[in-house]
Amino acid sequence: MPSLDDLKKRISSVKSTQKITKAMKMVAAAKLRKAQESAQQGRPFSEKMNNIILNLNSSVSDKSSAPKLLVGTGKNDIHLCVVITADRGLCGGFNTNICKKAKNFFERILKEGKQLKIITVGSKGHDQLKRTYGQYVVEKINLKNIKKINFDEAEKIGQIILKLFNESKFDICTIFYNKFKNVITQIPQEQQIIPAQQENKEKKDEKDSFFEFEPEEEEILYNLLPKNISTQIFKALLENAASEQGSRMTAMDNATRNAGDLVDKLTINYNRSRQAAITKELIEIISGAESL
Amino acid sequence: MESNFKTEIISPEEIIYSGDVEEVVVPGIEGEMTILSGHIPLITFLRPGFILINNKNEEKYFVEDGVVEFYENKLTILSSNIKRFKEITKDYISLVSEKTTNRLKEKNIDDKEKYILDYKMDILNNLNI
Repeated sequence: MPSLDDLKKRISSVKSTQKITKAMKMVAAAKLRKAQESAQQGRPFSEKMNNIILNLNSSVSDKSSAPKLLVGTGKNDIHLCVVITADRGLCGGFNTNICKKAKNFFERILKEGKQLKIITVGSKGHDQLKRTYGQYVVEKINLKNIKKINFDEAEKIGQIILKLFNESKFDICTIFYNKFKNVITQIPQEQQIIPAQQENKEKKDEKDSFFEFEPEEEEILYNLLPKNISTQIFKALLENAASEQGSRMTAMDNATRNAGDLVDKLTINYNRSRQAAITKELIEIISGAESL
Repeated sequence: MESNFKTEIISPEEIIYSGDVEEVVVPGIEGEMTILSGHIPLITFLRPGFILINNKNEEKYFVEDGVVEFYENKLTILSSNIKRFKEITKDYISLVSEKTTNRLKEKNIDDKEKYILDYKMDILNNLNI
């Protein structure tokens, strides 16, 4: 049975923890709104970009001469995985979920006897992956000092990937990030960006519109595809930022509530033992008086 | 024949312009072009220059690069480096010119890129704000 003093200390310590989590929740909520807005505003760009590439792709007549970024190198021996996580912790299962997804993927790749290369974006992901997969990490990037993500950051990461691709250091590139669905749910995603995946290609093909191209289709594709990589990464970064704040908000909300429960429990405990001490003293006094 | 078409200018961060317009002038990579309603489907690149949107009041944007798609009477301009003409400041110009000159100094650029960068510098130098 802890003494009264101990209980008092514990209550005040839990209370101050609760204050911190509450403050973090508020901050996350405020940041979430901003991040959500920018994620939503970033969506049209990447969608349109995808559309244009689809249109281009359906008009390129000779598939064999198409850029490698679009059709791939024809092999799938070396996989490059870009794992995008947060730079800060205390956001629930956010980082762990991405890493889990990525680890599953890594296992599969390694089991098939293929080579693996990893780029981590965000320090938390690197911390989680380095123990098992440290030897595969070729590059680690952190965005700790960047307050607001803008396109330049995405472009830098894109440049690194493209440089590796042009040196034919890998065949297939996949990115891992959390897609922001709503405040409570974030879905870890894997998305293949090189070669570009066309999910809804069929739909577009029917229309088969004849575009006028200036310059030639191939040339446009050559210039546009690298841009598309950066765009996809930018989208992932934005979604991730929003997810991080959402995840942190829910985690901190839970923490605050748990701290509240704990304080209640401890307070009851404290009151009971205080009462017990008083009763004990009373009994001592009474029995002392009786014996006189 | 006077009819309007929908125009959107989108940057990675936001939708910069959206609305019905009569006429848009874009600096295409092979020359300036005016787009009116009913233009045939078109995809082209932009070179550094100005986008002019002709509506009731004219709007002007400075772009460094980008892609234009015109499809089913809808014009979409995607650009990661775009600025409203009114919002251009001296700082912005010097920032862009610095980037451009740095790139020009590098060795691994081909003639085409050099031409475009030179062209961009010309435009920047002729801007007087």
